[in-house]
Amino acid sequence: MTNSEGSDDLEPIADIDRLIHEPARLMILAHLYVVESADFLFLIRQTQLTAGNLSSHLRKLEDADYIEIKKEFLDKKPHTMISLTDEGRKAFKEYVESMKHVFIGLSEK
Amino acid sequence: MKNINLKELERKAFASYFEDGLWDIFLGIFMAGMGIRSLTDNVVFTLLAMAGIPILFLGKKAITLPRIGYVKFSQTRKDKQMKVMWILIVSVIATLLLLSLIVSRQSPSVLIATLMGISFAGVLCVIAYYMDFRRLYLYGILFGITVWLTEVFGSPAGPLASTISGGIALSIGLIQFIRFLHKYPNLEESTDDQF
Repeated sequence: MTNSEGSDDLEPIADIDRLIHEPARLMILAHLYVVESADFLFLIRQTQLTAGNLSSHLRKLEDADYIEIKKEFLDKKPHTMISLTDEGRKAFKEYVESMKHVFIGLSEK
Repeated sequence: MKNINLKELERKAFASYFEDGLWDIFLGIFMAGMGIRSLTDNVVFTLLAMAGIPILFLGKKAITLPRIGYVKFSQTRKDKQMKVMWILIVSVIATLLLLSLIVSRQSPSVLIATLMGISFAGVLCVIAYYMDFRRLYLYGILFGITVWLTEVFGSPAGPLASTISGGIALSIGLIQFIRFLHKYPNLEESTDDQF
């Protein structure tokens, strides 16, 4: 096997979106993907991350324009509502597809 | 390593709103209240049966939402909820038609009672399916049995069954509620100050 053949085999792995690939961020995006929007508390409960940890990951996702964070008032109480942007939704779909292709063709000889 | 099932994730997120047991408490109070009302012929129990409504709405607002947060579900979920609404409308119309058949014909009461029991149970089970509220399958069956007993044996069998079914639902609801409070304690820090 030459070097170029080896790197061709590993190309799908190199294409993985590293921002999404982190387990905590993957969990956050998976939860946001299946709903229209969710508030901060809901994400804490569903992901079981700490508030600080969740904030840190949300900032990274917001910086990459994968999520949108808005302050809304519901029953006169402030709620930070988080939703996927169109780009974030597309990136997540592409990540799911790329993960499927990473393992296709892997066989034990 | 478990697979991430996105459908199951959405279902669990929606089902978390039923973890508080408030719907069980509401249904339990209603069924037990109506049963006791029929047994005692005391109007006060009709009011008691309705007490579940403010408990449900105020409980959701004051206890559930501050503990599990707020989410806007996707259009798929909203479509499911619309289906539930249509099922309820159609079932009310069908029940009225069935009742008019009972009045106009001399049909065997056991057969009609069975049809009524199955239809009531069936409607609640279908709602349970679309709402992903699994305990409603049990309550649907209990309600169907109650309707059958009421139609076949009248009082006190029917009202007694309603009271017992209500008691079961209320007990399950209270257990769920206590578990919910333990699982989702109020967070000390305000989670909305992070941004």
